[in-house]
Amino acid sequence: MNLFPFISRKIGQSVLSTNEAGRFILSDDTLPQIAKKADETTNLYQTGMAYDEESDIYFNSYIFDIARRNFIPKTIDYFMIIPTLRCNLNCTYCQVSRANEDALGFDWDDQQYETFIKFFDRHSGDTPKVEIQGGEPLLVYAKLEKLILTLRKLRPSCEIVICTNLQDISDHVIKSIKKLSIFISSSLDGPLKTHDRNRTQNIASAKKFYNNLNSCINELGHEKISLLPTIVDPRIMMEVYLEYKNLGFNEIFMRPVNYQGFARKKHSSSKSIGDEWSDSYLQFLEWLFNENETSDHKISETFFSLHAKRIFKAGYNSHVDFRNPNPVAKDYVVVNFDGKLFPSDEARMLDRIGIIDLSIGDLDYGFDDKKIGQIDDLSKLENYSQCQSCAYKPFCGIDVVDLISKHGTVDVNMHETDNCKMHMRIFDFIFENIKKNNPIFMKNLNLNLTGTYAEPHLTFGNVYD
Amino acid sequence: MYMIELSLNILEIHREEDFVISVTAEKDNLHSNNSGTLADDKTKVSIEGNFAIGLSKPILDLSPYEIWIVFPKSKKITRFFRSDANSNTILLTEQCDQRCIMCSQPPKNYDYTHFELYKEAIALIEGPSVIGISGGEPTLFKTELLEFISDIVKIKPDIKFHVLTNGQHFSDEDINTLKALRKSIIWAVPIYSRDASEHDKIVGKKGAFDELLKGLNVLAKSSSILELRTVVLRENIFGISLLANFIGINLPWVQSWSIMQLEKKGYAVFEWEKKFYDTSSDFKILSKAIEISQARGFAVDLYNFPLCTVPSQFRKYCRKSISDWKSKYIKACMPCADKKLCSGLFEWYDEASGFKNIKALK
Repeated sequence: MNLFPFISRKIGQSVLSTNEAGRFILSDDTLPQIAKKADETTNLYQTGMAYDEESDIYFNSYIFDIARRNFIPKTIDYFMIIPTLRCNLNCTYCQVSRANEDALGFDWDDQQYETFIKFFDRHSGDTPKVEIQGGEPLLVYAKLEKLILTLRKLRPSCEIVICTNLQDISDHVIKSIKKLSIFISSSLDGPLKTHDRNRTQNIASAKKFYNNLNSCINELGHEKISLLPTIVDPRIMMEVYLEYKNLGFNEIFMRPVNYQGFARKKHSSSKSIGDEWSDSYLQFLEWLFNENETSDHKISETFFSLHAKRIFKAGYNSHVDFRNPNPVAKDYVVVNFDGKLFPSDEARMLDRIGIIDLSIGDLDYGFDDKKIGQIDDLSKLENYSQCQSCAYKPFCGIDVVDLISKHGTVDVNMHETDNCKMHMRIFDFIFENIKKNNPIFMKNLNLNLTGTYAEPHLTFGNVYD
Repeated sequence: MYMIELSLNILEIHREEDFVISVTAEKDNLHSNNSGTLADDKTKVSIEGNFAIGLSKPILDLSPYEIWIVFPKSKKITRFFRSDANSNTILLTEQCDQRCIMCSQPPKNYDYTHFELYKEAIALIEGPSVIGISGGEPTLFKTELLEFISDIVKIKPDIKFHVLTNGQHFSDEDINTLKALRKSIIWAVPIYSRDASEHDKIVGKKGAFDELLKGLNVLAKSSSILELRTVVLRENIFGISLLANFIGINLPWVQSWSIMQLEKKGYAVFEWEKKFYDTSSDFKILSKAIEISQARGFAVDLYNFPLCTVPSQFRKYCRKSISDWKSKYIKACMPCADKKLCSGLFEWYDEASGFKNIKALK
């Protein structure tokens, strides 16, 4: 018997050992100690920690899962477009850098719509998703309607998401959105007061938002709407949860505020969110899990579920902020209001506030392969020395743009970055609770992996019963 | 309610050699030289206006287009292909090197390796189609079988095969052939437990599990499409979550995992109560296994599970799996609104010893 190369980490009194394929064993003994016990041999094969000879079935499944974890589609299946930068709100932390509603020169003209359609047709896979951002895209809805019809002609199963602040939406537009089977994504920062403080700064506008949100829920149904809070004050996570629950949603995404755009100027404390945010977030998770235990209305949390899926589901690498490798412009691209292409939304913001030009081409001339190559080299955890000895590397992800945004360089000690701190805390939280076999945690883990609130029968290396 | 008979008896025939014909009820069947027309009395088939075959009894359920293989000496006809059937299968042999405790078709010493006739028959199929190959154990004739499929793929690339095999007869020498055919075959291979001795006990063959893993590895190395099949039994249901974990980790390339309910036929009839697990009374154990497939991200299908026996959130996995010629619905099903989507029950299903909770939906 041979062990696959592994990395260990202490979890309380136990040892977690992981390998590159993302298989793991959680035990009171170290992996070499377990390997010495004859009656554990079958267990080590079957949990994916060992093999007999190269090219046997255990070896091949190990190789296969490494390939799955590293797989990135070859066609673009996610386009984020910004046909206008104009907006009718002025949020305190606006990440996107906005322009006033009546400003000129911040919209795609007809020629740019045409060029985008050609670009889309050339690069898109069979089942693309087009996320329409802004600014406020509903300001140009008539043009979008035409665009969407054309995209659907080119790729019939094309999924469309419009990200709107829902400040101003007519019944006519809601009806059209329903007819075209468009998804709506919007922001809600919590109860009316909080939402108003962060976004509308005018109670009447906040009320207008609520009315529009309710109209959309009634007309389109919850399944067509995703709502995202941007949590500025971690202590109000519980309030936000209650608000989402009252509105009938089954999912909440406690994403930390991003350190970009105007957020950089106004929320300077967001520079050291790592530990502060993790404390509040994990406290909230424990509270949420207990709520789920007693409430009939179970709510999953997207940031947690993302980490859980990265552990259990080899090949779950569709979340572009959290995967490894995270190559540029292979399956995801952002097209800005001026036709410039970016590897991510964050890169677009960095460009806008003049920190670094991370554009990777434009609609007229296509991709800048040289620049893409440079960024790609940095988009692998393999290139960061501190990650090489980390047991969570097979599950973790890399976000180069975020690194540059926060540190101005990629030459950093990864362990000191906010992202690393957050991810380590969440992975530790998951494995500590698995080790404790805490039933409430286990049910919530299952809820976030499968949608069913019940204790899972997943095996965790040592739990063969 | 009656069964569709796939084998017909001949009363009168004027040919001696085995042959293939297409049969329709239309007068102008022009599909090939060997195209027959069923007469209005449903007992006579004529070719180009001349009497060719007399059947022992009328055939009342002819599909719009059928392909028959006619064996004059034994006075038998095999209805090889029916255009509106939900499956068309070649039973290649009744020999088998396993003795599964629930085998619905216990092994016998008969083979039906009429590869040349099958080729002629498949040549008459129009458009894309899937041909099942089962046994017995079809890979007891592995070389001939792979040659046969290679020949068909050359002349009819839109014919796909679904081969049911115990997966224990592949070796590394087959890799190139399997690779060349990988887009044309789904290999459906049973696995009953992640525990070698439990699996071996169920299939009645010592060392089967280890051979199975070797065979599955050959299929993996040739990038073949793999469907795993597990019949639910009292003997293995308590380990089915462990099996799901095993598949998720050690067989990650699996295209789908079919979990199948037991068919009361063949060996399964003996000590039925010790084998059948009534999932209509307790689905919980299975739901855990399905959740593991969701968490690990591989596909599951439920075969031979009537919709009403499965909790609503898992019904999307139920397939209409029982071939039309051997399915039925019982009295309790009559008012059901979802019959058309449901697998129904096997023709030989026995209410007294079967599911406790069969009820009309909606």
